[in-house]
Amino acid sequence: MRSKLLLLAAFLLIGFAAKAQTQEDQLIKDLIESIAENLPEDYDLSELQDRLTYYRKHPINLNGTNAEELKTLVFLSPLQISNLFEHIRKNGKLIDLLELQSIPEFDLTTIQRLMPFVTLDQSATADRITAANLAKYGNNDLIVRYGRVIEKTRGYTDLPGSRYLGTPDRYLFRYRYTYSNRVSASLVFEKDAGEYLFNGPKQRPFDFMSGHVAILNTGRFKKIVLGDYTMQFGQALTLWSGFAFGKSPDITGVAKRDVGLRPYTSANEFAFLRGAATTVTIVDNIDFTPFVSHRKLDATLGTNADGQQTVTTINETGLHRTQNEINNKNSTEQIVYGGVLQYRTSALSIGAVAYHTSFNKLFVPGSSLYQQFNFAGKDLTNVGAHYSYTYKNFYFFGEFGKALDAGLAYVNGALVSLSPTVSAVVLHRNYQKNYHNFFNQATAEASEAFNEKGFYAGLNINPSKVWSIQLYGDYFKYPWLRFRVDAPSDGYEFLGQVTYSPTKTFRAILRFKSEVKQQNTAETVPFNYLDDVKRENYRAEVKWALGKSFGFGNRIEVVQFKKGAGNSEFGYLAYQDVSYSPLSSRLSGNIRVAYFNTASYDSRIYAYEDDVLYNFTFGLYNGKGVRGYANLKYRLAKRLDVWGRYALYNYDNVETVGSGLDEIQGKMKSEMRVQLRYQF
Amino acid sequence: MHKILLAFILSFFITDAYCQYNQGARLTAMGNASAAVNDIWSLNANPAGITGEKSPIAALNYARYLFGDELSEQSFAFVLPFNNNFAGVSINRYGISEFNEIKAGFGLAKKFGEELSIGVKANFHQIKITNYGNTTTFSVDAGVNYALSKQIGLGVYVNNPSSQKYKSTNVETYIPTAVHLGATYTPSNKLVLAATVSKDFERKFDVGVGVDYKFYELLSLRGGLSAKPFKQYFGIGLNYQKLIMDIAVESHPQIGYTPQIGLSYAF
Repeated sequence: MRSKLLLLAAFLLIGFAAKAQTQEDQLIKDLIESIAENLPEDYDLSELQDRLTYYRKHPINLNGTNAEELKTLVFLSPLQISNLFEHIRKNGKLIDLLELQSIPEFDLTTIQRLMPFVTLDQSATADRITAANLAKYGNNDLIVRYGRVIEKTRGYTDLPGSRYLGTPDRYLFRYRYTYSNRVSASLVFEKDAGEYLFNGPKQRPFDFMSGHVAILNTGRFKKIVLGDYTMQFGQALTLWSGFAFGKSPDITGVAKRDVGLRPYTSANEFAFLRGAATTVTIVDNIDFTPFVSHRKLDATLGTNADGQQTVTTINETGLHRTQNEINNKNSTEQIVYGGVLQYRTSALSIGAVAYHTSFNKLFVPGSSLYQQFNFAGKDLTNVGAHYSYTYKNFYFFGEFGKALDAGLAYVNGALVSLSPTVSAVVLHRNYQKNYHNFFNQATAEASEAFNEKGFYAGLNINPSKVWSIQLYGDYFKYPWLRFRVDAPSDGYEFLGQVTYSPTKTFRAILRFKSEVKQQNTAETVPFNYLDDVKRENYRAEVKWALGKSFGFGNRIEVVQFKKGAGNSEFGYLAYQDVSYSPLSSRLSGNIRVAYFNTASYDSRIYAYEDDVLYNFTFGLYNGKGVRGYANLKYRLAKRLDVWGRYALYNYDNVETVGSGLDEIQGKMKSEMRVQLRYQF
Repeated sequence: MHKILLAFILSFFITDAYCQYNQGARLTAMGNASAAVNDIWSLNANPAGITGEKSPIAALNYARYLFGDELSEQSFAFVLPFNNNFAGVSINRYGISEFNEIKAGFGLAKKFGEELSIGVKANFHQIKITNYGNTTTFSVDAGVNYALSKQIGLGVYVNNPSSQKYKSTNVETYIPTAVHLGATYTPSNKLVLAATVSKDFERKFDVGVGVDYKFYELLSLRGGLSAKPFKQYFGIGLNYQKLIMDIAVESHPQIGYTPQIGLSYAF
């Protein structure tokens, strides 16, 4: 009897531990998914995943935190953050997390999202850095990933000219160490498909290597980072490396969450700085962040009249597969140094940025007219000032950026809580056509924030717990020409989204998005005139759960594309998702089966896809066919997880898939991935 | 020469951009999403909307279009409540001295309990072109407002359901026949959100959304959007005792900014 009871207790405990683990992953997964749904394609969310996983183990102490730290929880709006500090200032430290409900702007969804990542526990303060502590209390997280496209693509055949020199395998190795909120370190190796694995040309030994060591919260030194890091300040206009949220159904995304200096742990080969940086508290409320970075960039080179090598374009893909790509690899050196000064109180934050960027090769703008105002030369100095200020239910924010001897840019906005159920955002921006900056991620319609003026307004309405409505409209103007736009042009974008979630396990979403821009006509004419290009998306989606283990999701999306006087063309996507994640099982997984049919690349559709942990995929649905994938996760041991993924495209009526070196004979393209994570 | 050119341009524009009469600076700043909003200028939108007035009220509005100061619209409105009935008069004049269009109307609205109100309005239209002559016609507008709850209101109205045209066949200008369906959401006494879907039988669907936010007792902030064409609106309202001043700016991608100002006095 006694042994049976013990056995039962043991089972319960194991079950409980497993449950906690599964829920932890599931929670972050769901959260990231809901954030990703609101993002344009090609965002790198692994850094966010990393942060959330970290906070899950080391929750933020709400009574001892600061705005910068809270901004790393991207789902909190700046107004919520500022209201929290105001609440603490007026009423003293929080005694219970339930108190959050009484803070203006903190709705139930936000609180539910926030709870897993915060605490009121004081104990986490100032863990001493000693060898014994580092060894005993440090967290190690090791990820090894392998993947490849199963079919042989043209680039790997014995071609006479350009071809992929390496193997089609992809490898990722990532090691991450954290000790409390004091020490962080990482090491990343990556090999993309087509690259050499070991000791290829210009690589010793791996194609991409990244790492950092950071010491945090040591006296005046809040952060010291050696190695790779990112800098994110203000409204991303003057100094911002890495990704930034922008226009999305989360309408508050246009108010940037600047998190300052952060160690870099992602495998993206472009979006970081390499060197040393630190954030020092000079006096109360004033922080100084000096930094220096020296790194090599991939650039396409040319030669000018004097026989000097010049830079035509910087390549951001990080792919070094062909002889050409290898030649371009690390062909240009970049040195960046400067500093950021910040003053912060609970309501007001002001910052000043100044830094210098220089290259060892001369930049020449392209010869096309639209490139006339692009950066030329070797050196660039950028200065900027940013602010945010909370007054009652208004949060004002903005930034001014200036490139010395070149253009000026500014962006200003406000986030207003109009009533407990309605909030609004407005944002005005004006970026001159010669605003040169290599670290600019400010809110813009174009992929880079220059040569653009615009006004954005959005509303977020939550009339009840069940309904949620988001709306925004943006009008933008390009004062100068652009690629494939031979005249000044303008356009607008409108989005409306309604979410209905009557229970915790059912959610339905309707989304409409319309965008009109101008582009050169497709007609052959002596001088290109501009045609309106209209793209409209209609999306309907439901998600529901069956019992505790099964989840279902369906989506239908229709895209309408129309250029000038041409006929409208349509693209369709419909998919079924099924997920299986029983609370106490070692095994979980999900599948998607999608049917898509798009008239051309113009009416293509993107959709977020589930993938192995830390990898993020936005599926591109183009052409006609079926897309399917399956993900499995299995807990081998307490600290050891394994993921597997298989995904395929099966196109209708085609002889080849893809183009150029990526062309595959046949109508299938399939891909597999395996990943192992060991936490110790 | 200048004026002839302007008149020429107008004769094109009037059929396109301005066939809807001005709804006053407040409703304009809310993206003309007026189908379910109560305002004195509901006289030029959903006539049932005048049932929100508690005392007699008079209003003037002035809007300036395109380039220069010549092309403008002047409007006057007056609403008189008695018991649960409301009577209103409005006059609009749009154009320049050589070319102008007038719409004058008389409206009646009635409240049936707290939820329902109905209004109708008869309009007289005139186009006058110097040295050319003039033409006239009549039209009718009718609308209903319904309060679904304390927070949500619905409204629907039609313009010119019988598709009246100007008597003279030489005039291209038409009196729009349109249906507008709208809703308001009033989560607090400081805030009104409004949306209206409009279908003019000669044109595509238009959608407008607007916000009116009473920032202080004295000051209201407003904004709006409309879809076809894509326009942005911004406005403020100053409320001082019985006097209200409203300012609105409409931004059109091609036409640019159209400012307007309105004054009203509640007796």
